[in-house]
Amino acid sequence: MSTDTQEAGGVDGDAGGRRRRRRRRRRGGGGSEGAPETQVAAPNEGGGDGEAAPRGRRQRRVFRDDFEAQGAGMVSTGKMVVRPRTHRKKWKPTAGLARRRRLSRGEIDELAAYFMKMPETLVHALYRALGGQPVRVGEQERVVQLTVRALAQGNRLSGLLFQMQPRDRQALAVLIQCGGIAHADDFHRELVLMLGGREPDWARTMQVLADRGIVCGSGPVEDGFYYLVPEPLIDPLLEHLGAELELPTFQHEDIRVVDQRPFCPALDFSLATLATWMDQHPPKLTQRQEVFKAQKEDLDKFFAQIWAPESEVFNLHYDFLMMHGMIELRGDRVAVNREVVEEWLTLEPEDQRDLMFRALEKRQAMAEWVLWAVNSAKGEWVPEAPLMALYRRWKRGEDWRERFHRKQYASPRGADREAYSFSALVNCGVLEMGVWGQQKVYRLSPRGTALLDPPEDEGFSKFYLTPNYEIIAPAGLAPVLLFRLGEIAELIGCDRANTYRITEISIEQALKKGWRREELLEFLREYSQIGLPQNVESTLRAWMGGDGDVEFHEITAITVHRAHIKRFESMRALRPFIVHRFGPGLYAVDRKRLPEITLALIEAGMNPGREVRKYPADEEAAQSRERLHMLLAEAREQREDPVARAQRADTQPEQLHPIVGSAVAAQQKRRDDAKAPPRANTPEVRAILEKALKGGLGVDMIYHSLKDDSRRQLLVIPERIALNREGAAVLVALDLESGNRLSYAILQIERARTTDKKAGGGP
Amino acid sequence: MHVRPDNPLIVQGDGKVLLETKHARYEEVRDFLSRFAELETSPEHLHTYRIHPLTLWNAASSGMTRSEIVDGLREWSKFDVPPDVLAQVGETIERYGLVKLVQHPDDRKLLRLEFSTAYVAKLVGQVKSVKELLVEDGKRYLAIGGGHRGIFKQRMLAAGWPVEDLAGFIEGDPMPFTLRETMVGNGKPFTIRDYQKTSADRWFQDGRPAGGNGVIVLPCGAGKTIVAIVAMAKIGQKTLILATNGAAVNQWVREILDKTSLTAAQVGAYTGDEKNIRDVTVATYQILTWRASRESKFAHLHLFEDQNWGLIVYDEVHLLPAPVFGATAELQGRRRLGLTATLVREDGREGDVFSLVGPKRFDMAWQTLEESGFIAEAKCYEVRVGWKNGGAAAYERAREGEKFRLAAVNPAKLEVLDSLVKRHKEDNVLIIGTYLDQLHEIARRYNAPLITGETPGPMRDVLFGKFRRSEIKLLVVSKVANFSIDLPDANVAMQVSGSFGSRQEEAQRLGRVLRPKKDGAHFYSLITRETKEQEFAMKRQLFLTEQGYRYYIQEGSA
Repeated sequence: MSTDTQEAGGVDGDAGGRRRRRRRRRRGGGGSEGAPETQVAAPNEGGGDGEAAPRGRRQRRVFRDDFEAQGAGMVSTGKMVVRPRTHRKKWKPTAGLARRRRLSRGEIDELAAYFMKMPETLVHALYRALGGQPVRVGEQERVVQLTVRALAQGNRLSGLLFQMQPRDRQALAVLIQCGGIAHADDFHRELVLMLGGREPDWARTMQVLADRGIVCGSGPVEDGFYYLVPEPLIDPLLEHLGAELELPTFQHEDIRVVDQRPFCPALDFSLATLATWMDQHPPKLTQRQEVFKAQKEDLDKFFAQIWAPESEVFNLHYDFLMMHGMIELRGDRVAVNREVVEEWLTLEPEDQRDLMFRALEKRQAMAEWVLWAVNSAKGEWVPEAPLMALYRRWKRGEDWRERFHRKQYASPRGADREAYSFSALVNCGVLEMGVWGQQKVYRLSPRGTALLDPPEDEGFSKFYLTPNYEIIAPAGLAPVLLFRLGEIAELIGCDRANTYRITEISIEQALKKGWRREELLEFLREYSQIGLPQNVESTLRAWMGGDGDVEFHEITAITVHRAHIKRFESMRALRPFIVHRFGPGLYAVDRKRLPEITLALIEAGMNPGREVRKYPADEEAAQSRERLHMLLAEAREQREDPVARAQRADTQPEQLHPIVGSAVAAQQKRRDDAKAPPRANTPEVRAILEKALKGGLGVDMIYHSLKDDSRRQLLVIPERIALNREGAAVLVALDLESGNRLSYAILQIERARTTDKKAGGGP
Repeated sequence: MHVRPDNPLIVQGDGKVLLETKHARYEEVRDFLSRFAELETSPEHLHTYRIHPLTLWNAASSGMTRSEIVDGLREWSKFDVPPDVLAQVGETIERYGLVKLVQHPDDRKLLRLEFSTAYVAKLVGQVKSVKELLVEDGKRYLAIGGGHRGIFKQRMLAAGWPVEDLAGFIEGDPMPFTLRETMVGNGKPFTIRDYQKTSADRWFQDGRPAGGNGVIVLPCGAGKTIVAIVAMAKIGQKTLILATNGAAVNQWVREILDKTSLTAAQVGAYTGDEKNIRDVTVATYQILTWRASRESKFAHLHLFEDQNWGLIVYDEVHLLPAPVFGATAELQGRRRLGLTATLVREDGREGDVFSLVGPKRFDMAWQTLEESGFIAEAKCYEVRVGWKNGGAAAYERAREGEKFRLAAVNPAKLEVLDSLVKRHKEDNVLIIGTYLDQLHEIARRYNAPLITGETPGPMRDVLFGKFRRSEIKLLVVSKVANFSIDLPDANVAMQVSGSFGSRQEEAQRLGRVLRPKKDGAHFYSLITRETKEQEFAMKRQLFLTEQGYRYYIQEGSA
């Protein structure tokens, strides 16, 4: 324990020292900083054993003693040298590691840029909530800098949240669950529904949060407004609101699992197995595009361990394969696109997962996030009510976001749906539903767990190939190996270990699918735990024969087996056909002369292959592969946390406003008033305008537009005073913002003052 | 799904259990599995067991509990044990003992049924096939006739009600004898191997009513005869032994006299040549099923009733002929022991054997015995021979029905056989075939004696004796030598032709060379390449590899 503490103290001391050095440099401390640096570092190291000696008076005394011992006294600036001590005290972390900056330089810059665009009052409110005193910091840039720094130290934000009332924290947590955006009135109702209380009370709670700078408003619109959490605050808040955000769990030994299947393997295993089955027994479809009953029964019987007849699990598998082009309808039968299946199986697990989530999304909106939420319970049962409440908030958050972007500020009361079902995910076998009395609870099924957290290595890298031509492939084996096995052997059992049998027909099929003799033998040799038994190898060689020693390729290429290259290249009769030699065993030939070449090869005692290989094997397959990647790209795009997705578009810093009724709003109003030009009656306005015209000055004014009843602050360069058609006096001036020359009724100018902006000069 | 790749078992949802044989704790797990699962195949590296209701009931009858099985499976399995299997184990084991068969206290001709609950009695009463066998004994109990014991148990088993048979067995006339410490034949000490003792113990079950019947499966050369002799000694009552042929009968008689204190006056053979009914009588299946015409009765089935037998031993029980099945059903009151190396019946009636003779009590992989040195390390070779002198054309022209024979008697095999015989000139070689013309030609070619079905019994004994004494190094035999011929020194067998794809024949022929010997055994099968014979050979190859034999394929050049 003490060792850890000392290490932590050491890290802290080092990082703290670096930061302090930077601060002193900015203050122009220059060359005199060597000694204090040492002085500051020492007590920090001493503070490492805080457990044995609590921080406080004794420690401060030691600190002072250190300085005194080194002859600290008054310096020319008139400030006490011991001043850094107070800073030191303020910075002193509760734990050394907590002082470490959590954000990268890039993130800090991004954060600073965001806050720079936010209204000053909101940044000030946040800084104040984080323990700063914005009034003592002059420049806005500096306030932003300090705010960012405070956020980068996670303990400042956690301190802020810790000081808040539980109700406030709960409301904030619910707002974050909604995606950081919520229609104010609707949100109050959601809070009442979830946590009780009255709507006005919750409105006050939100104002409290607004005063902390954590929650902003969408603007002063009379119909209503939206609560918005500034985007950069979401992640730190998520981190510190763990207790409020986490789902409760439930445990009871009598929970009964509904419709549990005996075997629930990872989806890639069952998909690869189903693709193999369909490849070996292409299903025939009815006019309604359903698999013929007899064949479906066979299929269900074969996969009885994984799904029940008429199960949605099968539909999920089938739709997934169909949606991604891994199977397709050719004539009235379903055919497998092997290239696409292999492509899918060799994708990164995360990419496979994204595609799977996309398929699940079609069955249940936000399926991915439901699974992640349930997963956060770490295998425990999650009761239905809180899960449903969370889901409802996501849904409402989506709805509010849409309405916000459509600028619908009025609240359509009574349109909110309160209950949702997760049966689609349960039926698909990714969620397990348990029942205890009337209580429904959920947890991830093994399939769902494998989907979210694909095991990197389950300890199976090879299959068992036994001398009786059977292959036993355990479920943890790489699915691409399973699929390849299915190309060369007949799949005869699907279970914890799939069983395949090598037969003469299966080998014949494998050759048709493009396997070459040596490649096939090598594959079995490499991936079989016990190698390739002699009797199996002999039999396979006999079945495969000598075909394929020489193979033609599409375009103009031929390949020669390495055993025959020498002979091939030495034969004069063959030379005229070889247009180009790419390398040993790979040659380009004239496609038009293929029959001649074949004859010459036969006469030379070689065994040319009967099939012409094509690259890509099939145009449709290539298109399907392309489509798979397109879908993958879409799935990747969709793979974004709704909370994060919510924020970027919604909380444009320039559009954030204080919440009506909050202290920040009042402060903003005062600030706005202070910034605005002074009120003036018409003669005073006229005098100001004339002064500006004479001196060639600009005019800063508040102009009340009667068209839309709005008041706008304008900066104009007056040109002259004229009369309009109605005979009213107007100011003809150049609007510096738009660059247009416009006329302004003097009667409608409510505030005005001259500025030093010269005519012809830019603002 | 919890995965423990270092464990040796994979339990499949259909009750199949795969066991890695190279696992450090293979033996421990194998012994555990063999108590409640049946060994199906044992190819190198991965053995397959099957959990059946029958095997579970056998386990239950030997005192194994549900939790013992479930805990063991959970402990050794790579994946979570399928809940279906766990449920099946629980339900099946719990069913055992719900129906009991006991001696009727008043009527010796009846056996009383005892049910654990009235509900069970009601359910059993609803089983149609059983209903007709049930009688009421006038004391509100259900009973069956003593003669229906076997069929009743068989039908109950089929209906999912394993009967705990506590009725015991009819005690036969006593026949006290002891096992010799030294064998008469060679003067060497007579020792019983562990597995022989274990198999006899598992069959006998310490004399409890649950034991006393069943089948022991051991490879050829593993000493099944000795298991039977130990069983006889445990019972100590008059015994009827049924064997496959006259040579086997003589062999049994010889073995019994060699290893027990029984005298020649107490042991008799009942065959076509002699009909001696003694305390221990050894008869052939053939004589039991003999009848003058198809309409006549079996003339010798009375043998079952002639003596008050305490034990009936069925050698090569997989060959049990159908009429003996019928007789056996009525012999359920007597102790029964079946012996076989390959419980494979080409007619698929293995289940009937279990029902009528009793369940499999002991089984051991051939490979295990081979590794222990109790049987010879055998290497199987399939030598593929091509055609010569237009043989291929004749084969192509032949009718489908003739093709197999043509391929089997391919003359080109003889040249390959020459090289094999030359290679093994120092060994004791058996050349085995099916087609007599071919065998005659081979016998002539090597000037070797030939034994066929036409060879008289005494002549056969003489030739086998000479072969045992190595006076003859090469013996040509037809399929009469497939079974029960003990030729301890034969170490090379060359099969020039066989009966289509008979797995049983293949195993039995291989069994002729499996007696333990220093340099191992070689079993060659000569087949004609790319013919029907090769297709059938594939089946035999599959069978042997499933049994765990090393199988090599060689190209023989004619």
